[in-house]
This record gives sequence, C-alpha cells and structure tokens, in this order.
Amino acid sequence: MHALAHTLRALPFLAWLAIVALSANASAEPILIHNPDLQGEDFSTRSLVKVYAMQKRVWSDGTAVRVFVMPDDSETHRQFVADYLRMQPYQLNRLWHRLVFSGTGTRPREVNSVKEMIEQVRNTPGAIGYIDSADAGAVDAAMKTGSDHE
Amino acid sequence: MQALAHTLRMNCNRLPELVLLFLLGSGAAYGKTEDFQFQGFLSQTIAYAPDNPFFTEDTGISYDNRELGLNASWIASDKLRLAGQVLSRQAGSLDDGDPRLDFLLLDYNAFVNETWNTGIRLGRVKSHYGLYNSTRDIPHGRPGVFVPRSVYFESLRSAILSLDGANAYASFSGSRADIHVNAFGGSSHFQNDAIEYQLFQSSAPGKFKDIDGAGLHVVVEPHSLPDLLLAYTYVEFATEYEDAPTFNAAERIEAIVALVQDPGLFAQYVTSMEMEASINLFSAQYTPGDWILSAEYLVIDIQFKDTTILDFPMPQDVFRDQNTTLSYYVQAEWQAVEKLSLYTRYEALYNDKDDKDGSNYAELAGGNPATQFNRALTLGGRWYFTPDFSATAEYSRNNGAAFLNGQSDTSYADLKEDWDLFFLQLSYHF
Repeated sequence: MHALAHTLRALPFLAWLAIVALSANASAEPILIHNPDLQGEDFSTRSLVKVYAMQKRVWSDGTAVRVFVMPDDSETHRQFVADYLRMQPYQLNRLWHRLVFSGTGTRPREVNSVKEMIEQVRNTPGAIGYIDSADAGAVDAAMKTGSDHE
Repeated sequence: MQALAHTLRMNCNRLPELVLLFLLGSGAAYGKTEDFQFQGFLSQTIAYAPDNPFFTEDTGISYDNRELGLNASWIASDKLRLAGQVLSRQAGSLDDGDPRLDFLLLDYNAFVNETWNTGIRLGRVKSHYGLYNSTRDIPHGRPGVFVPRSVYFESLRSAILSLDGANAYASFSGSRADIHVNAFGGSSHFQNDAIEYQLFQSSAPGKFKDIDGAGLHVVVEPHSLPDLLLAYTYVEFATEYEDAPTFNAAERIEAIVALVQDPGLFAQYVTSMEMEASINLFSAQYTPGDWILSAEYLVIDIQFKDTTILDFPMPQDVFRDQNTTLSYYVQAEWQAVEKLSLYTRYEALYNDKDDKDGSNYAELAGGNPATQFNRALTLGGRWYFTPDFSATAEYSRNNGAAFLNGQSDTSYADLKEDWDLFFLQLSYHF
C-alpha cells in the first residue's frame, strides 16, 4: 500500500519526463535549402540575417532574393530562426511588421507544407528556404550547400 | 439634390480610400497569391488614470481606445510595388475612429545591386522620424502600449506621421557600415485640434490646417558593432493659422477688457500666426541577444512669425516668438522567455528648455506650471499568446503633465503634477 502511494506520487514526475522525452524527440533540426543556381553564395549568419530581415535584395550575380518561410508557429521555423539567424521568432516578426506596416517592404512568402517549400525553392530563381533534416532526402545536394552551418 | 452633391463631395474627398478599398477587394478576390499580401491588426486598450484625465474629460477608467488597420501590398514587378494602409483610430477625444488613409504609395526600386539599393516612393508616404514613427500605430511595432510620449508627442502627430509627396531612399552596404538615407517632402493636414491645445491650452476660433514638411533620415549600422544602430533625423515643417476672426472697434474694446481680466483667453483673439519648427532627433539602439536598449534625444526649435492679437503684435512676455523644446528617453526591453518581454523606460520632456519647471510660464501667462514639463518612469510587460496575439500591461509614474497637452476638453489649470497611469492593451495581427 505504501509502495503504491509512492508510485502514485511519482506519476506526475514520470508524466513530465515522458513529455520532455517526447518533445525532445519531436524537436526539429532544420537545414537551409536554396535554389540550385545559388551555389557559392554567402550563407553566413550575418548574410542570412540580412536575407531574412528582407534587407539583402539581390544575390552576387544580380538575381533577386526570394525568401520563403514556414508558418510562424511551426517548429521548423522556430528552430531555423534560432539556429541559423540566432534570433527569436518574435524579433524577426517585429522586423517584418515594421517593413509591412510602414509601407517600405514586404514579408517573406509563406508556404504551408514541406513539399511546397521544396518545389518553390527548386523552381524560383534566387529562392531560399529551409526544411526539417528528416526531409533532407527529398532535395538534391545542389540545394543544400548552405546547410553545413553549425 | 443637395444630399447627392454632399455625398459626391464626400466621395471625392475619400478617393484615395476608395482606391485602396478597390485594391484590397481585388486582392481578397485573388486570395493570398504570391505577389499580393494582405494583413492587418487591431487593438483595444483599457486605461486607468486615477489622478489626471487621459485622452478623455474625466479621470478613471476608459475603454475608448481602439485601433484597426488594414494593409495591402502588391508587387507589380521587380521594380514596382504598390502599398497602402487604412487606419481607424479611436483615441478618446483626440481621434474619432473615422477610417483614414495612413499611406498609399508607389515604390519604384530604381537601382539595386549587392552594394546599393535606391528608389523613390510617391503618394502618401510615411515620414521617417526616429526609431518608431513609421510604425507608431502598429501595436507590435511599439515598445509598449504607446510610443514614448516624450519624443512622439500627440500634437505633432499629423505633422510627422505621413506626407503627400515623395520619399527618395538609398541604402549602401559598405565594408565598414550599412548606411540608409531617406529624404522626404510634401504636405499634410492637421486631423484634430491637438495643435491648438498644445499651443494655447484651449481651442481657437481659427484653425491650423495645412502643413508643409520636409526631412532627412540617416541610419548607420557599423559592422564593428553589429548590434548597434545610430540614426539622425532632421524635419522642418511650417503651418499657418487660418480663418481667424475679425474684430470691429467696439468688439476690440470689449475683448481688451475681457483679456485684462483673464489673459488665458488670448487664443480667442489671435488674428494671425505662422509657425515654423525644425526638429533634430538623435537615436541609438543596441540589440545584443535578448535585449533591446534604445535612447532618443529630441530638440525642437519653434519660431512664431507675424503673431497678432486683435491685429496688434503679440506682447513678447505673453507669447514668445521663439522656443526650444527638449526631450529624451532611455529604454530597456528584455525578452525574458520566448513569450514574455519586459520593459522599462525613463523619459523627460521640457516644453521650454529655459523654463524647465514652468515657473516663468506660470508667472507670465498665468498657466499651470506642471503643463510645461513631464518626467516619467514606465514599467511594463508583454505576453505573447501567439506571435500575433499579445497582451501588454503597463504602469507609468509621472511628474509633470506636459504629456497631456493637446487633449481637448481638459481643464489644464486643474492638472496634478504627480499622477499615475495604468494600461492594459490587447493586440492582434492578422
């Protein structure tokens, strides 16, 4: 009886452990993808911050920069912003609000699925985006030259 | 027939709004296609002002503070973009919630390469002023419930918000720094009588209507300190008192008798006035990691010309023809955890840098000295339920009541020097 009570007391802790373990498993590891024609471009954090802040307008060959993002609340987006841009999603969102609502710029284009992200980035000249590493098999090596980021 | 003419006239005045509505409508028909973006925001603020009235006639709780903005932009080509925004702002007695065109512009991105980005915006363009002017009405663009009132004060809102004219821009990405330059000029109109209350602490029979303004905004981001941004803004604007009353000899004598008894009535007898202001604003923002540290320092030189009262030149000791206003704030924002940001700000505003405690003003003009300065300490926090939906709570302790200048229906003589202000604001972006 005593042992049972002890186990019962431990239940919330076990449940918490399970949640932590599950969410750690679910945690996304994003990789940068880009249009195959952009090999050799600068994908450093500093350059990427400018790209995602919508300040860098053209690549070195003059192609217009086209930025793609997943929805704000997607785990891949949050992880990408943290790992590659070293920012919080809220900070980035705030930068976009400033552009849009002052009439001085536009936000990145939002896609709703990994499939759409890969297709858009593959087919749009100057395009840049990201996917979860679990989906990395679906893109060619020529689209992942900026992904050895860490 | 008259009603029809009236409607037509209304619609002509509303033409830009109609154009934007058409744009929004056609965008809605398109859906969210890749070249068309549509978004908006809304906010509701509850204010509790136990000591002095804030935006309203009375002290206490007010719910009369709402914003709704609709924004659309259309990328016509790599070089051409059309963007517009309609804003409805209900702010107590200052703004009645009528929708108006915040901006509607054509952006021609004339030349762009890796180093340069230049172009011109035509139409109703937002003025570039300091860190926050271009997004002062956007809930998530502000560092709190409102932009710092010391530097972005309400009575100059129409003069610095946007102009019908042009905005030329150039960005340069050099080896040592990024530099962004905006030059703008055009005309605007006062949308409420806050400027009269700012100048006279009462309404006046005539009106300040048209504003001519121009300015330059320079931002430097040095590469050696990648999180630092320095900005300088210079704005000049001029306006004139129109539709002033005229007085015959008998009325003039009557007015002089009234004035001797109560000099505070002088606004009723102003017969001409021109105002020219030049604004120098220095801004700095440092954003290391989860912190945003901001400071701005403002100097406004105001010059009054051709000021007459009952067609006589205004006595200098009652209304000086030159005045320098000083203000500044320092502010820290901290993203404590992903969903919570905390902020604090200290700010000060002195209407006349040579009369910081308002004692000269009280002696010469007979007004409330507390209306000539305002120091405030603000503490607040914003909780993001989602990246687009947030609640902001804020408390300010004020010494001096200059932030309340510009409010109509306010008994300025009764304003208390020490007062508190509480806000709760919900805002949503879509």
